[in-house]
Amino acid sequence: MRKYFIFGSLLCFLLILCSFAQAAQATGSITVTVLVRGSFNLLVDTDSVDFARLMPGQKGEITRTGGVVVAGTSTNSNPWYLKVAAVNPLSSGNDFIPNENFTWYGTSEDSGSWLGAKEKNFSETNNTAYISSFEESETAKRIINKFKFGLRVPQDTKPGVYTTTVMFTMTE
Amino acid sequence: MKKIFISVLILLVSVNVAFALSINIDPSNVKILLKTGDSKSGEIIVRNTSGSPVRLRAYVEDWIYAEDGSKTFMKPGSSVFSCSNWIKLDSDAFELSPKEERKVSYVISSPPTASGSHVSVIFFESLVEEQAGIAVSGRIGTIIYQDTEGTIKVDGELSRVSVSTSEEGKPVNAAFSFINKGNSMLLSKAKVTIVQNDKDVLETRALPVNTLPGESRTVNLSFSPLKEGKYKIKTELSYGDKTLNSQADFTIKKISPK
Repeated sequence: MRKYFIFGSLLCFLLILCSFAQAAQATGSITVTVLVRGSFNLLVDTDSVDFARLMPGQKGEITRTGGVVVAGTSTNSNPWYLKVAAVNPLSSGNDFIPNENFTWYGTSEDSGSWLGAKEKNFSETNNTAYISSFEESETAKRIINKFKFGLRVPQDTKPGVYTTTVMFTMTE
Repeated sequence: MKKIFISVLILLVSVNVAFALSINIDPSNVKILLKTGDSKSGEIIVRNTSGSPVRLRAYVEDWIYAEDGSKTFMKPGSSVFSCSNWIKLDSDAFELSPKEERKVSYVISSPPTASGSHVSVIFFESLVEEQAGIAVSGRIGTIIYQDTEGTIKVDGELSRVSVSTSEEGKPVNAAFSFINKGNSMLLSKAKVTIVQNDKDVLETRALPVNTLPGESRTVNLSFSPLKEGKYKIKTELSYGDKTLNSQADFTIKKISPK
């Protein structure tokens, strides 16, 4: 009887040992999938600017001292373009100030092509402000451009509150 | 404690004010191959990455290339390469809360007469309140490239690259042209290199040279000034699985003081 007990215990011990050994040796694999989305981002740090009060014949700059910060980011490997345009001439009722008098310029500290170093007016047909380099379109680096706006009020301008919309456009 | 609370409140308000608009889209371009008379659908994920709610307008426009390689945008249907009127969006205006995203679906249907390449752009534009002064708005676009299956003819010609500078110490101005002779739009990448002794690379520029069917693009480049000597300029332009090459020798001479 004792022999059977010892034999049974030994068998149980061996079975447990085998199961541990099998567990330790078992391998498996799972497939991990992740979808990384592309980043193509436009940031504009304000929704309005103003020139305060200007007299006919006077020239002024926007009152926002740091200018308007417009940043672009891309990871899509294609150079991107930033354009700036005045949707319409500055107008007050039926009166308007021609776009030749409304200007933009600014600075960019990045390695693409910045086309706003010299003052340009909004009547010019080419309104490209920044062309990113290939490197910048791959790294997700935020490319920061600072825009300032100037306005010369023609002598014959009638008094009024003149408004328009400046549009920044970012595409590949 | 009250002072700290007020400071934090001011900080939170200023953070919200600091970023008026920040939008992310994915993808930024879509290439669609369609059989004549067929339709395909897709979606664009638009995300408000700012801390403020934003109201957006979605719409399509045409575009053509400007001289600098950027795009000039126009009303739908105004370009001969337009497929804007073939595109239907499931939404034309919506609002996104801070960090919220939305899938905007589109369906593009090719007419039975379609042939070659067509293009469009789907814009997402921030809607701003009317106010005194100047409103500042932004828009970001997904470029649509559509090809009609079985009708595409790819053909291009690279002109000889030339250098117009010969004086030491002056920027080296170079130019080359590319003509798209097929009926497909070509998204090409050009690499222009200045070498000395056939092996020493002095300066390299990489740039996109994208063209619509029939278009010709002249690329002007300015390289750093060089010392007196003999050099070579090499242009390599590739699209699809095709690569075109052009090269030219040029000499930089010392200018003797008068």
